[in-house]
Amino acid sequence: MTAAVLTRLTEGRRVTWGAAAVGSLGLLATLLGGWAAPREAAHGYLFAFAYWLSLSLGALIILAAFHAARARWPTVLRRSLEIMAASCPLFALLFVPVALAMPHLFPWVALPSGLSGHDLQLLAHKQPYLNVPFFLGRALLYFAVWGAVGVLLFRWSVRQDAEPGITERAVRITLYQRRLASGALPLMVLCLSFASLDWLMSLEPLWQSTVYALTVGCGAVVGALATVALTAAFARGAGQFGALMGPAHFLRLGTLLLGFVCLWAYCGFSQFLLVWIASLPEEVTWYRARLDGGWIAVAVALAVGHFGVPFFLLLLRRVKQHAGALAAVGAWLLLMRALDVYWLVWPALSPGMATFHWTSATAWAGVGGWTVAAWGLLARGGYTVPVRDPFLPHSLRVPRS
Amino acid sequence: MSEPLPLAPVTADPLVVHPLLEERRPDAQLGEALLRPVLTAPGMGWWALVGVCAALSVLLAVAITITFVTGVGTWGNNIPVAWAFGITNFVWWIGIGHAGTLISAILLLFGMKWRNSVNRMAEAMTLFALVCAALFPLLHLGRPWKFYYLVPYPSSLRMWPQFRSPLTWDVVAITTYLTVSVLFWYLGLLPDLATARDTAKQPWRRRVWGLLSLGWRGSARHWRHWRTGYLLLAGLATPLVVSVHTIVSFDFAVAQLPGWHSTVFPPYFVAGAIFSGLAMVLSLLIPARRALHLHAVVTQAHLDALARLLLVSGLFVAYGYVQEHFFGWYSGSPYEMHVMNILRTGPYAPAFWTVFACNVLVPQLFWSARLRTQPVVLWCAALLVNVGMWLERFIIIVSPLSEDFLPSSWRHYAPTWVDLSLLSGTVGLFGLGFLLFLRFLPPVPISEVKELQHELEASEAFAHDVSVRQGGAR
Amino acid sequence: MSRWVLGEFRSPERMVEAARALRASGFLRLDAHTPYPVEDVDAVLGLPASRLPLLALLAGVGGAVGAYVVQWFTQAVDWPLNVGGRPLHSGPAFIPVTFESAVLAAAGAIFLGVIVACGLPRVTHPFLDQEAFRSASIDGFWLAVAVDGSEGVDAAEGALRQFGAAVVLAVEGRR
Repeated sequence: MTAAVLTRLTEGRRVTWGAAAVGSLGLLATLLGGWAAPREAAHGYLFAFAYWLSLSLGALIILAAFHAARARWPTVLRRSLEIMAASCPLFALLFVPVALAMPHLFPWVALPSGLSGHDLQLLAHKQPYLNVPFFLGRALLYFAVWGAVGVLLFRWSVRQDAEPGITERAVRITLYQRRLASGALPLMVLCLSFASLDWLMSLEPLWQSTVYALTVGCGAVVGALATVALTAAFARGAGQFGALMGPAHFLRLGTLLLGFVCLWAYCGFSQFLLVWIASLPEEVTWYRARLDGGWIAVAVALAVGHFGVPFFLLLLRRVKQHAGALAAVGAWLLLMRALDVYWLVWPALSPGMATFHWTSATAWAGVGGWTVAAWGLLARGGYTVPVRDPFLPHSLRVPRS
Repeated sequence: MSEPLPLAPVTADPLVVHPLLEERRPDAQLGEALLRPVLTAPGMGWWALVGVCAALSVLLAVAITITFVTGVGTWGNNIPVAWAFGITNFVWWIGIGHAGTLISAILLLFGMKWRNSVNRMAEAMTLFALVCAALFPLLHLGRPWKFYYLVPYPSSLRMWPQFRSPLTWDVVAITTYLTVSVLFWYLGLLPDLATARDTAKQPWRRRVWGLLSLGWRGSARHWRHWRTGYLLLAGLATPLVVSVHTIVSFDFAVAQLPGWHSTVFPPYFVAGAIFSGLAMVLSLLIPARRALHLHAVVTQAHLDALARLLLVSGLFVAYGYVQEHFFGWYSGSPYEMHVMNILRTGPYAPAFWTVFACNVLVPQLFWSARLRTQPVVLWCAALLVNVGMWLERFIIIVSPLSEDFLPSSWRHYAPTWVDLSLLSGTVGLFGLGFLLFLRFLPPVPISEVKELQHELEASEAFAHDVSVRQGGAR
Repeated sequence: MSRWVLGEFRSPERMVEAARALRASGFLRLDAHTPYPVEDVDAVLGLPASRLPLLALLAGVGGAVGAYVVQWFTQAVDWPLNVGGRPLHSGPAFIPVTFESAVLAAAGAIFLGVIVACGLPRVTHPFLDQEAFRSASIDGFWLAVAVDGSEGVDAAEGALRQFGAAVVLAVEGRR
């Protein structure tokens, strides 16, 4: 084994403040856009919020799953997931604009004209669940659960770094992490499931699909893993986690990414096939809104770009083992994630007519800038790997196959 | 500030309590111990169990004959409950098969070493479960002797199967699954058949195993292709398992019946299949481990791992229940709500709450590390889960059919003795197959356990080596 | 008639060492026979990676295309039948069978590929007549050196003994 050293992250100050500045500008621009076109800006903001939050939540879920599975190989890349997961509380703040824009977003808040009697009756039936106070209360609960688990897992991991060696206390901290993560995982998944109903599916409150939340969840994990692959390619300075990752780690990361890409496509296709083949009037509206009038191009791009292309690329061992190639696939998938979330959100505003409003871009940059700045702040001054984790040595000499 | 890279691998996992292999033995001894069930005469217990299972298989033959001679009318099925026991048994058995593939294929891809001791038994279980499962759609055809109509062959009838129907998808899915499972199992068995050939003393045994092992010589060239092929088959079997139960779930979900038409059905059915299959693995493994004295290779670590998987898959199933019942209400459709109501408070409430207890409450026991390694607790829980999963399929199938849209066409269902004989008969057939397997083929993969032992020794030696060197430096 | 000299070693590490030494001293037609796959042996013997993945991909794609074409031909061309108003060429409904057929074709190709590539079935291989060689599937690690003529046999026997073989056998038979 080489006598490499693990270093604390000292650079990156410029990136952090730059991102914060871009974020503030973007959010300001979106706010101004909201003056002129409130509905478009609200949907653009929701798209950006859902996109960046999904990265953070995907990281939280996969991090907890690693702990629950007692997996050793991901120890080397775990800090990046911990940082992403610990950024959850920021989204509680970023949720405020969504809460304020509710009348522009959700038809069940401000009933649009032209609803039939049957529709009104259905909305009245759903009213015990879909009402503003309960909606806000649930959001509070979700953020409390995710935030508490994400922040605790991160803080324990940082506290472990301060141990003088792999001491008994360090081992105990790992044990606590595993217990908290496995115990909280069911609750976190349930929160994610209902949050996707609240914030995305209820944009069209008369439509429902029971597999929707799983599709969103798998997409979120794809986004998180893609982010890890991308950052690993950048964090290749001496002693940083990208430099410590060998072909074996990238291979496993790539295989996991392939798995979740397939799961995402599987859930999405199951939903489509079942709606298509049963052809019920109350169900097909959702696909009519998302396939007619130009949206079909987005749908096809998703089928090819979010599944077909990465599927075949990630089948290749050479791509998975190569840090740069995997990062390229990751970057591509992050783009596709944006397209996917856009395709989920926007047709609710303009069904059957593909449109784009510039506030989507500014909101994406705004929320994204602040998110990246938060990651930078959390990462700065710390190690990029959990140095005192008892399984770091195992992770570093993980076998090839 | 910097920190030197930690050099010393931790000698043992500080958080893992149970070893994968209880003791180290020379390869020859290990191989002989693992072949002992095959090379020695069976005990009284084995004969007694074979007797019971054979009797049940005879009952199955009787029930099948009656179904053939008189027709499906001898079953309790009626209109509207056109699907009942037959399809329930089908879904139950095929689900049981899935855990075998999960353990042998998915865990291989994940590099989980503990699978090595249990995969052979799990795969054998898959095969016998699939045979039982495939029986029911055939019997349900009405005129089973025309089953070949389901295959697209150019016939003078100028008809083709109707490929927009999940029932034809089922045919292809089950055929594929059965074929791939047999190939995967046989490929994995080849090196062990060679070991059996070379260990056996009697010439006839040598000859039979010699033929079955196809002349395997363990050459480096053999192993190279074998490993690649085995991994590839595992990689194919993994999506295959998911797709097979997905297609089974499509049988229901493509329909417009309330309670059946739900988009979560595919993943929910897959989770349920794996859940019930793991329960069946535990139900078979725990007695087999005791009877064949496999404690050294099937350790508490294996029980612990299986119990964890049981808990995880049980939680997924519970998530499916949450989705079904919540969206049943959220839909606002009176029919959906009615179907969920008759489950919770109506005629199916006893069955539903039994399902809830067996599938949701019982697995929660295994949050406790102590209970995960108690064979008796695990075995009882596994049996309860088996019952719960059968009942779950039964209420999913029968309750929406019996009370769907028009109250005037509602009708309930009661099984006949033929239905009950078919169910218990397949249990007998399954048991018979498994008992014969334990007797005639190596139940634990010999070459894979030897490899595991070698790997464990090497990693311990490395750890020891490094810590000695470090100690010297200090 | 081909000739081989077989040597048995008691551990995989010693066998790999001996294989390395044999190759260094000019014995290139080597094979190893072991009860389980040994990690470094492929590299030492200079065996290339198996080409089975490519075969599997081709067979899988072939199976998928074949299944889709069969469905399209039977449903949309040869026997157009309106089922619940769904289009005759119902793409989404053809996906499940297409997928299953791809898996079936690929799995069949892999299995047959392994069998053919290993030269199986071959239950009458001359090695299998050797009583001592039985340990190759139990706890012995064997190296097989293919040789020409009796001087080749002597040289290989000497080399195997020198590199620590516990048992050395000369075998003759049809390849």
